[in-house]
Amino acid sequence: MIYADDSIMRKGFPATAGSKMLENFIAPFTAEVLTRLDEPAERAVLSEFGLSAPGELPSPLLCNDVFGHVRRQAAKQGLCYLRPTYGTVSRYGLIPTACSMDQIGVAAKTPSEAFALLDKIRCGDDCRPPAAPPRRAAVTPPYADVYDSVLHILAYAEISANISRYDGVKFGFRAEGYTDLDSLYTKTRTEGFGLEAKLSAMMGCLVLSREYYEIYYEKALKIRAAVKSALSFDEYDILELPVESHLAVLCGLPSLTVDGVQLAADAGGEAWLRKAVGL
Amino acid sequence: MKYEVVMGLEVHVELATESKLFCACSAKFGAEPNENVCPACAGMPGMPAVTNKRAIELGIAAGLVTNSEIARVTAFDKKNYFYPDLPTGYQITQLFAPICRNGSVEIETAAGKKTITLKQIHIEQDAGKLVHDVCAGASLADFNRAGVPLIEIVSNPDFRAAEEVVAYLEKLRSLLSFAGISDCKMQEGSMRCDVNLSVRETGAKEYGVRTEIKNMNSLKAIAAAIEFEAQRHIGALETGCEELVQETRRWDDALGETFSMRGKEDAADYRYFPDPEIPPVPVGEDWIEAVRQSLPEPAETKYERMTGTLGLPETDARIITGSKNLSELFDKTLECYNNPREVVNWIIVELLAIAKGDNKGEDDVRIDCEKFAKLIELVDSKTVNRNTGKKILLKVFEGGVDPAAYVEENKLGMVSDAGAIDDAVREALAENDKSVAEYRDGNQKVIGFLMGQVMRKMGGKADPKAVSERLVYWLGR
Repeated sequence: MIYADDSIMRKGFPATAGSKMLENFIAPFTAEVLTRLDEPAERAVLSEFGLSAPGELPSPLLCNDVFGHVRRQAAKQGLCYLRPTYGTVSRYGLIPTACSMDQIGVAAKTPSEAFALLDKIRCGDDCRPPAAPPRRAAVTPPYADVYDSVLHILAYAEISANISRYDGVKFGFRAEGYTDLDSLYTKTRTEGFGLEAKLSAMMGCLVLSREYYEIYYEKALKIRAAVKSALSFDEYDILELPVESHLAVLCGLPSLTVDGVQLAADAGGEAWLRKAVGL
Repeated sequence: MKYEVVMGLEVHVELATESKLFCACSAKFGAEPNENVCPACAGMPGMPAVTNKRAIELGIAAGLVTNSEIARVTAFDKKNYFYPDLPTGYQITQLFAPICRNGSVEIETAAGKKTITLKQIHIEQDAGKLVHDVCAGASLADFNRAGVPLIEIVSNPDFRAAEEVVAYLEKLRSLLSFAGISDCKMQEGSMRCDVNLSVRETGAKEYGVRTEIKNMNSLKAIAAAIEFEAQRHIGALETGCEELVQETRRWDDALGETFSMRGKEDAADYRYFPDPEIPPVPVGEDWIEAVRQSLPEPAETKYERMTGTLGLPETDARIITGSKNLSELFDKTLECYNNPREVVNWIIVELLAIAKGDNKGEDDVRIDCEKFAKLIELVDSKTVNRNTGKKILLKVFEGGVDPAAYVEENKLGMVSDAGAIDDAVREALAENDKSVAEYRDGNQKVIGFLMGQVMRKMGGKADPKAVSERLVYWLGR
C-alpha cells in the first residue's frame, strides 16, 4: 500500500489538503504522480496545506513538504525522506502550498524503497551519473543563519496568494449566515481556515504590502538568488546538512534525509545521493 | 481664467488568440455562460499555469506597431485582490518586466499632427463577468472571459482634448486590428478605455487632482465623459463648492454623468509580486524579427501605396485602409484582376451598398474575391454593361454564383455589334418622332429617354457608350 497526502488529487475523490475549506471538494482530475503508480494510493491527511507538524507518518508516503515538517517527523520515526530536484516530479494535480518550493517527495522505510518509488513518479532520468565515489563535505552553506526567515517570508507570500481562491464563491466550504459579499468572504475564511493558514495569509499580506515589500519579500528573493549563485558543488558532490536545514527546499536541490542527517546534491544530482547511500 | 485638460489613457485590448493566457480553454467571444471553463480558469487548485506563446507574440506585435522597446526578458506578476469575478483571488499581470516600454503613436486631428507617447504595454488576464439577477436576488458568475489574454496600453499624460483621445483610439484600433492583434470591438468589450483626467490653469507646471473615469463603451461615450468630467473639475476649481479628490469614477451613459466608485479601488494595496511559478520568457532578436516578418502591410504604408504608385484618390484609399477587412478584400481582388481604380470603385460604390442592405459594413462584408474580380473584368471588357454587372454582383454576394457561367446561361452578354445597335437606334427614333423633334429644337435631355428606349429593345444588354454615340450620330442626320 502506498499513501498519498490529501493535497495530491485523485479524480472523483475528496482532496482536502487537510483544510476544512476543502472538506467538500471532489478532485476534478487526477494528479500526474498518481497515474504513474501501479496501484491506487491511500489518502493520508497530514496537516492543513502542510503548514504544521503531522502526526505519525504512514509509509511509503508521497507528500509535498515546504517547511520541513515531514522531513523532521520522518527522521523522528526513523524513516528516510527523499526530496527530488525542483520540477522533476509533476505538480499537476498537487494542491499548492508555495509554488516556487512545492515538490512531491517520498517518505519510506529505506533509501532503496524511496528511490524505487521516485523512479516511478519522476519525469526523466538521473542526468549526471557519477563515475567516482561521491566526495562528501560538512561545510556550512552561505547565509545559512537566515534560511529559516527567508523560507518563511517566501512561503507565506506565496501561500497568501494561493489560498485566496478559497473564498466560498465557487467551490469548497461556504459559511452560512452571510449577509453580503464582505461577510461571505470574512465568515467563510474565518470558519474555513485553521490558525496556521490564517497566520500564513496575514504574514504573506504583510511581507508583500507596499510598506514592507522591499524590507521582507524583495530581500528574501535576493538572498535566495545569492545563495543559489554562491553555492558550488565544485569541491564536493554531497553536502551534509542538519535535518532542519532549508537549503535544499530554498534552492530546489535534491536531498535525502536518513540516519539523522540531510544529504543534499546539486540540482539534477539524485544519482550522487544514491551512490552516497550505497545504491 | 483659462484651463487646460490633461489626460492619460489606459486601453485594454483582448488579444486575438485561440486559447486563454494560461490554460487551453477557448478564448472566443459569444459562448454559452461557463462553456469555456476548465479547473484552472475556474480557480481550482492543482493546475500549474502554462504560458500561451501566441499571446506573447501578439504582445511583441503590439510593440512593433507602436514603435515600442520590446523587453529582452518579460515576466509575469501576481496582483492580489478579492472579487467574485476573479476566480483565483489574484490576476496574473506584468508590473516589473512588461513586454513593451516607451512606444509612440502618431495621431492627426483638425489641429494637426501630434505624437502620443506610451509608458508601457503589458499582458494580463481578463476577469470573468458578473450578471446581477435582480429577480433571483443573486449574482451569477460567467468565467468564459476569465483568463483571456489582454494587453493594457498605458499612455503618458499627453492628451489635451477629447478629439485627441478619439483620434488616438481610432488609430490604435486601426493599428491593432490591421496587425491581427485584436478585433478591437468596443461593443463586445474587446477594447476598453479608462481615462485619467486632471485640469490645471493653462501654463501651470503642476498637475491638478486626477480622477480615473471608467465604463465607457463607445467613442461617443468617451468624448461625452471627458467633456462632463472636465467641466466638473473646472467648476470645482472656480467655485470651490466641490472638493476634488483622487478617485475612480464610473460613467453613466444614460444619465450623462460620472459617479464616484468609492470602495473597490480606493487605497487598495494589490501586493504585487513576481509570479513564483511562471518562468520569465526570454524574447530574442530572432523571435522579434519573425513576428515583424509575419505582420501585414501597415495601414499607413498601404495608404501611401494606394495614393502613390496605384494613383487612387485619397478619400477612396482612406475608406479602404480604414478597415482591415476591406484592405484584405482589395488586395485579394486586385490579385485576381489588376485594375486598382475599378476594384476600388466596385468595392466602395457597389459592394458596400449591397452589403448595407444585408446589415453588413466595412468590417464584416464578405465576398468571394475571385468571382468578384471576374465580374469586374466582365464589365470592364464590356461583356456586360454596368447595370447588368450590379445585378450579377448581387447574385455573387448572395449565392456565390460564377459570373462568367451566369452571363452565359442567362444570355446577358452585352451587344457591342454596331449593326445591331444601329438597327435598334433607328427603330427607336422612328417610333418617337416627338422626342426627336424636341431634341432638334435644342432639348438635349430627351436623349436619356431615347437611350432607355434603345436599351429596352436590346434587353438591357447593349453597351451604353456605343448606344449614346450612335444616338447622337443618327439624331444629327
